[in-house]
Amino acid sequence: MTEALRPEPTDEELIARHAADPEGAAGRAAVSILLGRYQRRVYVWCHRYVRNPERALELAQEVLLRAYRSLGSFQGRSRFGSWLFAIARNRCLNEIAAPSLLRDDDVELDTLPASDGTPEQMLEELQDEEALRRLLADTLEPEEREALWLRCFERLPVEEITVVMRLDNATGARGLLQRARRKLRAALDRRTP
Amino acid sequence: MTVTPCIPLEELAAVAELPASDPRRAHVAQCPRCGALLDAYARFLEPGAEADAAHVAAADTRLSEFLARTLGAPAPARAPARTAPRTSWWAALFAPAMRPALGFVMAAIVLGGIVVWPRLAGRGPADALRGGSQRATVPTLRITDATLGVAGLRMAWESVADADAYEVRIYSDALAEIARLNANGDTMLIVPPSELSFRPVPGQPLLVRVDARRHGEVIASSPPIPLSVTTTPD
Repeated sequence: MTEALRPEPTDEELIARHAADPEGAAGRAAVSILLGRYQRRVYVWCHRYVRNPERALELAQEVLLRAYRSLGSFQGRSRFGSWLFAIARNRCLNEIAAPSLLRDDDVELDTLPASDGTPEQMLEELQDEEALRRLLADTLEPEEREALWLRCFERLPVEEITVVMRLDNATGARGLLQRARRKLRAALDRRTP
Repeated sequence: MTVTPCIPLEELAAVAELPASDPRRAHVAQCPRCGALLDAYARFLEPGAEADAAHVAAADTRLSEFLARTLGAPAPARAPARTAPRTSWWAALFAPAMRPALGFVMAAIVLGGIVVWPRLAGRGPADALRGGSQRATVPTLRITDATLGVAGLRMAWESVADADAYEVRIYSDALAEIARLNANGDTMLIVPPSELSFRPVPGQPLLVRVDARRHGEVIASSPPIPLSVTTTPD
């Protein structure tokens, strides 16, 4: 019963314990507790990307190890969870290719209009991320913008976007992404000289 | 007009708690990039039903073992982080009183998966290849010695049934592979310094892992473990 009453150390307290004794048993024990709190989340996140338990486990190990090695550089300006999330996200992004803004095999390719290549060329000319962001802002509804961003820049699976955005309509993110791409394509067509 | 720049990912969670009138908070609400990342981070903290899957529980056990090996500290008695307390039946299952029993059950499941299942199914370990069935797992190979000193590299590991070759891979701290060494069918490998394809630096943090192969396919792998570079004779 006493264990339930004893307050658990916060992430910040564990990081401080590690900083005070990084190579000692107390410091390593603190990191072990800290990373142990997040290991399941890291694994689940990796699994969402690679859809393979063994590969996800390898990625999660790499993420945890990288976090451990880099903990000395964590300066406490952000939450430990978001710092660790950034490491996991970057590692996962390196693992898979990004789908195009205009075409995506996972979103029912058949429903997309045939392309003569012009919108793709226009898109390639939008090298500047700020210009691309402006185009998305001018063309799409906020929900469509976020879905497309999650798909193309965060490389999240379509089903995952449905959950992340809490979409409860029948088609989930799939329909949203199709609509966003149609609008984007039409906007790029209109820009064609 | 002042344009608020995008928020660094690490700071997004804190910015989301600022007053709605704060320009940085307003930026997050309007920017597809920042909004998407904030939602993704929330999902990271609250994995949902997927976290209850059997493969997650097995991975959780192996990650605890990995941390214990890597940190030289006992596997932590896990508790949910304060940022996202869990209140589901799953949390009750992980209550302190349940941990010993749960650990035993998980170990039994993992052992059963590795040892019993291939035999029951009449399939050899080669069927459990990475990238194969989502249910399959690559068994863990245990490294018993990993030393890199002035005498060179000395590695030893436990043999894996049916393996016809072993491969040692060494990684930098940044997880870039810097050497791959073929040990043929031996369960140990000694490489003199002159034959190493890289120059070890004392104190340099390196990682090493061993893959067991049969007919070229990986049938077991060790997790990466630290390989300390020492200046003393081994």
